[in-house]
Amino acid sequence: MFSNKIHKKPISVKFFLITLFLFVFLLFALIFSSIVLYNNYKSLYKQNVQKGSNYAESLATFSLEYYLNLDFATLEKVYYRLFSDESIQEISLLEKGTCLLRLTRKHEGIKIDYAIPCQRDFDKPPSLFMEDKEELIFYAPLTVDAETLAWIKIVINKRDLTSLLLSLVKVSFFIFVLSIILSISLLLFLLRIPLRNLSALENFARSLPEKFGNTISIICLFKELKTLEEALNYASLKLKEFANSIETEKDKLLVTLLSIGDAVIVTNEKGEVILMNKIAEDLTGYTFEEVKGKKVREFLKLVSEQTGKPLEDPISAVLVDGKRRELANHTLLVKRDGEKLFIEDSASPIFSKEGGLLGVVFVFRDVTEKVKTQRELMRLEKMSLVNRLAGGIAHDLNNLLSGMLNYIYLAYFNKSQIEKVIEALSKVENLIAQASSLTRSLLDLSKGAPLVSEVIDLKTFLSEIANFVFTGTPIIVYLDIPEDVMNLKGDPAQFLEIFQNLFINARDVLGSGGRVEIKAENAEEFIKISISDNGPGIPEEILPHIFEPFFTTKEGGTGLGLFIVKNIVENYGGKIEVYSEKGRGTTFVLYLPGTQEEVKKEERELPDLFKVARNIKVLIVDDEPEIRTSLKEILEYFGFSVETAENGDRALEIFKNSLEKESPYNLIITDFTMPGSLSGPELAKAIKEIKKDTKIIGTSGYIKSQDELREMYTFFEAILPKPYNLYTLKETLLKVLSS
Amino acid sequence: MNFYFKNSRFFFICCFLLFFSGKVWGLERVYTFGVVPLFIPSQIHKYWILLLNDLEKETGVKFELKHYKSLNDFESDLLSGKLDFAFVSVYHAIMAKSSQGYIPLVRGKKPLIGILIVRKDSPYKKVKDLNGKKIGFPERNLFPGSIYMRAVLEEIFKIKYKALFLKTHDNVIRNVVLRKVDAGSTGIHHLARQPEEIRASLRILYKTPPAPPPPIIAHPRISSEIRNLFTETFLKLSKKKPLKDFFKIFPLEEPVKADYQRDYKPLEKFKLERYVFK
Repeated sequence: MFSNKIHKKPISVKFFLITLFLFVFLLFALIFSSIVLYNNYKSLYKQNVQKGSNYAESLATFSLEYYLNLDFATLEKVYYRLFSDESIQEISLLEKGTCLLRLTRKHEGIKIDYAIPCQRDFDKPPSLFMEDKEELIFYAPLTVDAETLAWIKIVINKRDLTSLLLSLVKVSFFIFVLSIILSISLLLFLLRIPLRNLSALENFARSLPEKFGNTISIICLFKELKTLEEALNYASLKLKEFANSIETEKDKLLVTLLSIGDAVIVTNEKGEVILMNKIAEDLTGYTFEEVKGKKVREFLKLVSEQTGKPLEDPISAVLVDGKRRELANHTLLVKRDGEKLFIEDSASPIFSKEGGLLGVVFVFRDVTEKVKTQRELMRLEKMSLVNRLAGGIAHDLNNLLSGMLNYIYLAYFNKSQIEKVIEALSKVENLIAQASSLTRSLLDLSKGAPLVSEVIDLKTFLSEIANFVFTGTPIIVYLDIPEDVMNLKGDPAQFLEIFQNLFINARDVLGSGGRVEIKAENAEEFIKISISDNGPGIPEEILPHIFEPFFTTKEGGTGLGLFIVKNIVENYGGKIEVYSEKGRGTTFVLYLPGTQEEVKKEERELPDLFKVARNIKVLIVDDEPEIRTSLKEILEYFGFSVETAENGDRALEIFKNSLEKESPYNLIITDFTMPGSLSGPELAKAIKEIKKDTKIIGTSGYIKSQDELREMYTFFEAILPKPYNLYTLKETLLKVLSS
Repeated sequence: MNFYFKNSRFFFICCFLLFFSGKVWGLERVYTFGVVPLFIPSQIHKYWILLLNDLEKETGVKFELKHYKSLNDFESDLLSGKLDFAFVSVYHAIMAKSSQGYIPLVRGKKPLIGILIVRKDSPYKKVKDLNGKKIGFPERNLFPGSIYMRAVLEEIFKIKYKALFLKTHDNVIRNVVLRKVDAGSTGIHHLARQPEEIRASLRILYKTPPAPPPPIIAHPRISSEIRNLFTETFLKLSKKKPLKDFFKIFPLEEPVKADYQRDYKPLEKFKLERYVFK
């Protein structure tokens, strides 16, 4: 295997050769200079020793006669003159323990000492030659008839030796530098032709990636360069051969890729487009030439159908972690002309054999028609559902209405027997309650918000429902709800619907015995509640359909239970998941809104409404005359002073008039929706702006969303869901008026 | 007759010419001048020739400088009265006076003083302490370092000593420093020109009484006019700069008129001639 990794910066042959030759020449020059220096130094040293020795002997011979004649003045003069030789450092005439004369060279001149004590004992003849670090010292005796009378001492400094050595070093260095310059010059001169050829071969090699197939021919006597030339030419031709082969393969692959029915965009490791087929061009509205080398995110715009916000570029994501990505549902591709297409498919990484990320292949297809078809089918299915639902509800409501009508007839028939009238009216009231439950179920199926929002202690709530459902069965219920789990917030009736449905399903599945585990934990602003049973589990094939309306496996089931559960959960912004394994059981996991608010303590005993109603002026606003009139009579029954208005505009006018008369209304009860005039919330807002402390109760049968519900509470003291019974009405009035 | 007459006339002319030529001789007399050979002969020739030439120009008197290879030859000519003028040593002046009556004309102004030096660390405190010791002297016939000092030591102090003649004053001084002699005789100005380290190691034990410097003397046969002319002219020339180098060598600096009775007569008691080496 060849490795394309470069471990070290390559050294050019030219540089290498020059360096090599330089090194050899340097070494040679250095050795040569060292030998010359050493020889010169030794020669000079010998000369100095010889000179000093000669000086000492000659001076001893010369001095003897003068010494004997006691002519020290002449000796002093002669010695003094000898100091014209710069190498002489000291001349002394020594005599048994005394240095008669000592002439020493100092910086300031020649210093003469007379008759100073001698440091050496000259009874024994000293060595004739001594040497220390800076001086050569010579002795010569003044002898008469083998008797030594005195000694001559001459000290020669090595300054000359050192200075000569330095001079020699300088000269040698100069020769050395000169040798280098001449060597390099000669080297360059001799190597100019081979180096030129080498340079040509180098340039040829460098140009091979672009100009493979070409050949080079050099005129050169060096066999190695000719061999290199042949090798490069061979490599060039082989490269061309390989390139042709790769090109053919590439063409085949390209044709294959372009023939794929899906849109394909291929990028390199930087996310830049290197290939795009015709389908991709058609879907994006850009040609390959236009986007070649560009980042995909620069032209491929993906947005969410639901939010309209741009989605993450899948290619960038793949380049980050090297993992395959599939587009989320509801992904829209915005074409160059702004047209939006539903697309689906994936972005996959392209890895090299070594595992390196080479790029990304992004494959997608236009599924707009498919989505439209699916949605049409769904719409039709919903229509069918509505038809079925409407039929069912109409049937139930007609039954209830028939019952009510019958009991009202009976009340008429027995008008003289008040007990039977009350009994008939009581039956009517029950039938109305059933009808109300029916309409509540309808609301649960809708996407509207719950009209009641209370804080509920989850543990108590679930315990009560579980007790109600599982009491009397062999099923063991395990409830695990830690103390730190938040409270639920919402409509207790809806939550009851949810858990009752799920518990009843578990109970029905377990039948003769089993175990149900109910667990809860906090999950950010939601409470994660899981309800598990160890029943037979839901068959895999029906699992995707369990939340569909009218889907049931129970005999006599309506098929609306889980459908309603899912709707209620989603209306609260939560979600429901189901996990089931054949033979091991089923787990439903719900995410419902939690709150840190405390559960309201049991209200103090409400006062009697009759007592509260005194001196309270109430304005009832409703476009429905029957509701307006019946409610007016009921409130007047309790002692309220009641006026009515048929719409919001009229109500506002009446309210303003009451203010002018300094007899304002204490309570407003208004419907939400009143066509052609101010709506209930608008009216409440206007009244609050005029008189902030006016208490207002809203009545409605439907609110679109949780956000709208939250907004309502900024204007209303309470919201009374329609239809409401007398008990609810009384409770609400007492709460509002006593607050 | 004619021949006689002719011869007589010729004789007369010759006598006339001789008479006048003789008068010219009398005016053009050349005086001999000797210099004691205690100086380097080349220096004697160089400087005295120049001086005598100047004297000739100024006085119109001719001088002949006589050279001597030895002191003996000089003293022989001097004491026999052969020299008209001479520059002599002090003792020569005394000897020449007694033998020929030579008259001192000029001498140097500064008196000559001989000194005895010893090492500072030597035990000698007075001259008498040197009795029996080695004393170094320069050349035998130098005055006052040798002759005068020996005469003083023997005639005045009456001490015995071993004299070592060490050629030069510098050598005498060094021998004292090097303890080769116990004391040394030299001139005070010789000591003064020594290096400080030498001077610092020595002390002067004794100074001789002042003696007059060497004089230029003239034979008494020289007329007083010529003597006076010489004296005046020499004194006059001595004030000119060109003689500066001359006086450095020959001890005639700042010359004054000499007087034997006053200057040299007192030295007779030292019997200097005894101490001259022949």
